[in-house]
Amino acid sequence: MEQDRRNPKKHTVYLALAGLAFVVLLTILGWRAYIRTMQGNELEELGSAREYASHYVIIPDDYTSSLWQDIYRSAGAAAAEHDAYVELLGDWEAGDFTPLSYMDIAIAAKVDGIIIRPDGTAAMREAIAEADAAGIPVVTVIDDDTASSRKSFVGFNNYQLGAAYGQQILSRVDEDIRKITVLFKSGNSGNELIFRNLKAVIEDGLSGEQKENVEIQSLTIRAQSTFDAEEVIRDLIHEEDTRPDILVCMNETDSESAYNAMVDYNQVGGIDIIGYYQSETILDAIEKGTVPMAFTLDAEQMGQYCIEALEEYRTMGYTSNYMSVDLNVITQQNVDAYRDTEAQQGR
Amino acid sequence: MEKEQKRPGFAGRLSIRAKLIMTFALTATLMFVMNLLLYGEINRSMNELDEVYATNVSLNELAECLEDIHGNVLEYLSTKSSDSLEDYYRNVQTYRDMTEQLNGSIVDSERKILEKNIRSMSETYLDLAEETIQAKRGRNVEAYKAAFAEESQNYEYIRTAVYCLNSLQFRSNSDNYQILRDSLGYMEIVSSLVMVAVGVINIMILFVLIRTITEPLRMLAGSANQVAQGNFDVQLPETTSRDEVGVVTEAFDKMVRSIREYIVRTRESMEKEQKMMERELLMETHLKDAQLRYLQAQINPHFLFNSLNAGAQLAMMEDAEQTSIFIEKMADFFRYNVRKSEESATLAEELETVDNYVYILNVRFAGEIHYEKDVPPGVEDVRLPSLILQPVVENAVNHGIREVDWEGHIRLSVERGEDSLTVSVRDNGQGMTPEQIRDVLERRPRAGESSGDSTGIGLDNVINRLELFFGRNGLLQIYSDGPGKGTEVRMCLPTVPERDVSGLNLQEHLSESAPE
Repeated sequence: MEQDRRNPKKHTVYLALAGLAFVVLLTILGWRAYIRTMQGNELEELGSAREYASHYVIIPDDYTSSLWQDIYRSAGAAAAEHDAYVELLGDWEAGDFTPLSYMDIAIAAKVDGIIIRPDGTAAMREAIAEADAAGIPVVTVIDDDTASSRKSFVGFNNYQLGAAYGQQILSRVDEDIRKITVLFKSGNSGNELIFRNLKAVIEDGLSGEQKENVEIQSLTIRAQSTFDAEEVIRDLIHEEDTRPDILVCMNETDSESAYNAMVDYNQVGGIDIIGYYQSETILDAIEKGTVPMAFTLDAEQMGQYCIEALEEYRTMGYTSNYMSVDLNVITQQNVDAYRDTEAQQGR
Repeated sequence: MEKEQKRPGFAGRLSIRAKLIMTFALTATLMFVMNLLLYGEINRSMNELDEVYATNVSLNELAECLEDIHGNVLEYLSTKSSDSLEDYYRNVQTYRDMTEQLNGSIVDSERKILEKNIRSMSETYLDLAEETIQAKRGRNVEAYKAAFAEESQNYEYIRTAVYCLNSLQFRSNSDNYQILRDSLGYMEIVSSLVMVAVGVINIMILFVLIRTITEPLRMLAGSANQVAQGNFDVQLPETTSRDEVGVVTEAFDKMVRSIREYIVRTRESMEKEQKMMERELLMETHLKDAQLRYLQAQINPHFLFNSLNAGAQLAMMEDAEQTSIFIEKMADFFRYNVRKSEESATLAEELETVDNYVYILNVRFAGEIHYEKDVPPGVEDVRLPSLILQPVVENAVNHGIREVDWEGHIRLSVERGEDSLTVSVRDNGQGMTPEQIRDVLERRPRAGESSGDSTGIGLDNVINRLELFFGRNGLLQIYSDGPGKGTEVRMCLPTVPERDVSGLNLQEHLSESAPE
């Protein structure tokens, strides 16, 4: 009885204590929930905060192209394995800088390695030499400049490239084909070689009669400013005199310009564009059949090989002069495979 | 009823004031802590906000300093003024200090890597600037022109890089600003919710705590009401707390207990007084009874005494000495009876009355009664109720020896005991059966008793007064060996007056309260 009478009092004390504990718990939980929400929202970009031993720079000639983005991505992944960080240098919006300027910047920034597509100019060669003098190894990619003091080249041999293009073009040549135009960008020392080989392969494959009918010419666009190439391609397609039956593009931007011009001037089916690289537009066009094929270099391999070359040079002091990557042809038959690859890469 | 005192707990030892203060302090502390956390977080956010823009500010300062250096170099090249050189060195030092603050490691972050680039480029730039200055000093025109061109280009690069970094940071700062705004919003919601919850629970705790304070008061008030209604056996609420209510409850408990005890004591003493008064009344009743009997017997005693005295004088004048003595003794006997019937008497007075009585009887019955007495000296002043011995002797005469054929003897003896006197009246008369003795001692009226020839005071009256006077029972005993063997009445008179339970001396009391 007495026990019973004593209990309510104890209960109230316990109740009060329980309430107190609950309040404290609630405060802590509320606070933790708040902190967690905050941390989840923390966009404060510090990256993974991982520190790397070396710093490599990729200087693209077209920062936005998917080719360079792909190369940068695969190079970044490969570099991470070697405790190296890769920077895609070329988007300093404030300055109207050329790849050459970025070369200077990279040298001034004392990076540990440079990956660049040389434009074949003497200035570029000098810059590469300067970098070499500063102890910065340079690897050329896609295009080579054998006269420069680059340490290695990663890409496709120009001779083979010409031959490969020639063979694919040859397969599309028929009675109606009169004019084949190959678009080059000025300043690439390998252009000549590619064209010569391309032309030789086509001519070798044609019969005497055809050989006389088909005109193979190269068009080197001397870009004075950013949008010159686009204007030249439009003119080319617009004018009936200059309009080719087969138009071979040697870079991504040209391919897309040509495709858009062809559609705009209602020339679909009239011109066979042989595109370059698996950009979205080109892949769509191939799928629809408006563009018969596109050449593509394996960007994955390029990025990876560039880093391997730089790492090899850094650790061994030398590296192989030339690293070959695969050249692929995208057609309507295999376009899905490239789409899958793209999807996998999360683009 | 002894209440078991339980050792009070911590809360039980606190006073109400302390409890209340603690409750409010607790509540306030909780709220304070909540606010502290809140303000701390707001402060943190504000600091972050400051920091966000501080990075932009410091970058601008960096760019300005770079501009100054470039200007200094240009000025030095144009004028070769020592002022500009001085400024140049000072600015270079400042600039170096600033670039030290920039990130120097290769980190996976666009901003950090840009910082690192700026830092490295700045080193290159400073080297070029130094080279330019040195070339100018060495008046190597070609060299300083070339170096200055390169320095200028580098200067442009760095400015652009700083600009890029600035806009990058501004972008992320804007994001951060947005995050901070969001976080403040979240904080508002979370803290409001927690505040409301804490408030509600606080009120609950307060309610519970205040109930622990008021509940005992309520129960105490209930008990007080019961006591007010006369229920002193009320069960008081158990309190273990040492607070004010506990103290009041305990005091109340003590009060109720002492009231209860007082009531018991008062009742006991009232009962005792009641008993005493009953005894007194009884005593008076017996006395009155005795007196009444005498008054019935002696209608006008004073007239009788005067008459007897006149008779005695007449007898003296006629020289009838025997008659005179007889009449005188008669007068003494009755006077004693009238006078002493209301108070105690000494043994000597009682014995004299017995002598008078026996003398009168012997005159009446021609010396048939042989009376002897054996009284040791020094007992004359022992006090006893009046009219005790004479009735006993009268009894011995009337019921003992009057009707016997043989010579009747009455012997009165007094023996001194340790604390009492024993007065024995013995006769050799008819004797008594044990039944008769029992009847007398139990004061049962005996069949066939006549009071025609009696002074009027019965043995039962004697027993009653003796016992009332001394406050004891069994003071009078009757012994007889059976019919025809005589009877002995023994009275025990305590010489040490017995004090009764209430502490009142009955003898004194009686003598004081007896009416004159």
